Order: sequence, then C-alpha cells, then structure tokens
Amino acid sequence: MISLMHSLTIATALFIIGLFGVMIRRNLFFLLLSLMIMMNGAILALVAAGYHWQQFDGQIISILAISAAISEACIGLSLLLHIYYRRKTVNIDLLSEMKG
Amino acid sequence: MISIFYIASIIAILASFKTISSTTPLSALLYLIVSFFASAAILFSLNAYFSTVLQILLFIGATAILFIAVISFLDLNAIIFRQQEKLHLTPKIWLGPLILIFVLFVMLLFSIVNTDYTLMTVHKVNIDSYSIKDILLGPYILVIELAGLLILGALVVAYHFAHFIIHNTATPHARSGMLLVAEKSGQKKEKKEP
Repeated sequence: MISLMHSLTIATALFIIGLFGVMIRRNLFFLLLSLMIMMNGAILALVAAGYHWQQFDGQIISILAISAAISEACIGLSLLLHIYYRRKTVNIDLLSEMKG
Repeated sequence: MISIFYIASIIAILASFKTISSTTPLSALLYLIVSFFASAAILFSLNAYFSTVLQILLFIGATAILFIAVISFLDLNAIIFRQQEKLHLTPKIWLGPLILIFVLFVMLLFSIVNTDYTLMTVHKVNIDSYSIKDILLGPYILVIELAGLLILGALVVAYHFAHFIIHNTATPHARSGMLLVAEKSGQKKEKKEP
C-alpha cells in the first residue's frame, strides 16, 4: 500500500514544476507543455486520493480532468496557430500589446 | 508495485524538469511523452487501470500527437528564437520565480506532511463486487456526458480557428484544391445550411 503522503508529494512536485515552467518560459508552445504537466499532477492527485479511500470516484473525476486538459491543449494549439499566422511569432513578450 | 511507483515518479519528475528547461520543441515534446508514460506507470501502480488506459490513449495518443502535428505546421526557426530564450534562461531571470515556487512547494509539502492521515477512516469497500462500469454508467453518467460536451466544444472552437487559417493563408493553388475537396465532401451539408 503506497501511502497517500508520497503520492500527494509526487503530484505536488509535478504541479510545481509545471508552474515554474509557466513562470520562466516566454514561448507559447512551452507554456502549453507546462500546462499539460500541471494537469498531469492534478490528475495524479485525484487518482491517489481515490486509491487511498479504495473508491472509484477519483478515477471518474480524473476522466473529467483529462478531457479538460485535452480541450485546453486543443484550443491552446489552435490559438497558437492563429497567432503564428497573424504575427509570425509565438513569443509572448512581443505579443503583449496591453503591457500587462 | 512500490518500487515501480518510486522509480516511475523519479523518472516523471526528471522528464518534466527536462521538458521545461530544454530549448528545442521536439526534444521537450519527447521528454513530455516520457513524463506521461512515467505517470501512466504511477497510475498503474496505484491500481487505477482505467485511468492508465485513458492516460496512454488520450494524453500520449491524442495530445502529444497533436503537439507534433502543430510543430510540423510551424516554421521551427520562428518558434525557437534560441538567443532570446537563452537570455531568459539565465539565473538572473529565473531566480525570482524559483524562490517563489520554492516557498510555495515548502508550504504545500508542510501541509501534506502535517496532515494526520489516521483520522481519515478508510471504508473498506469490497471493490471486487462491482466494477467501474457500474458507477460510470450509473450515478456518474452526467459527468461523462459533461466530459463529452467539453471535448465537443473544444472541437468546435478549434475548427473555427483552423477554418479561418485555411481560408486566409493557403496559396491559390492549394486553396482551390481544398475548396474542391470541400465541395465534394460538403455538398450535402451546404444544402442544409442556408
């Protein structure tokens, strides 16, 4: 029996690595990759909680999370293609017209 | 099972770190696929066989392939901008985020370690007596339909953007070819649409 603490630690580490990638990278493509890593960590936490309580609910909510991750990647990539065809770059520093 | 869990988690963390730190999109993508496989192994060691299959089919089979397809559409020189990335990956830039992230990680780890897990009673349900199918198509049917609708919405949005790109940037020759294909395949649809 793997303890819940260890699996939650792994999930947190994956989430934190993804968040760090979102913060340091300036390439829209790598931002999407980092978001996928973050979603992966969240899914891992859901399944780990389901395993600890010996229930199927965690896995079922993970289906919802996986489909959310896929829709996010799909829309993000189509936005990336759109931005690339309009501006010929995916550098988000060059794209920040609102100086946010 | 326990050794699988720890080895796979180490591989997942290392591969994720290589993903965010590499400058070439393709190598980052390959490391991401390794990370997904490792987390599929973690899910397998947590007895979540259904989620393992979903992870491999949907994350690696669909999403990673989608990323590869998008890379092949783009001009690699335009999306790498190596010098600028090198400039951004210097310690001066990532030291601030690293400190913030480290504080967040320590706080989360503190809360995870300090939780009293003995208070959480584990109801020993006889998990063999019913399968995931009984729950999936029973009380949770709305969740599954919601997931399907979510993917459908993403499909509609992606089609909207791709449609715009095809009609605005394709060369005349390719565009006429695309239109011919569209006319051949879409004749029945056009009659319904007006």
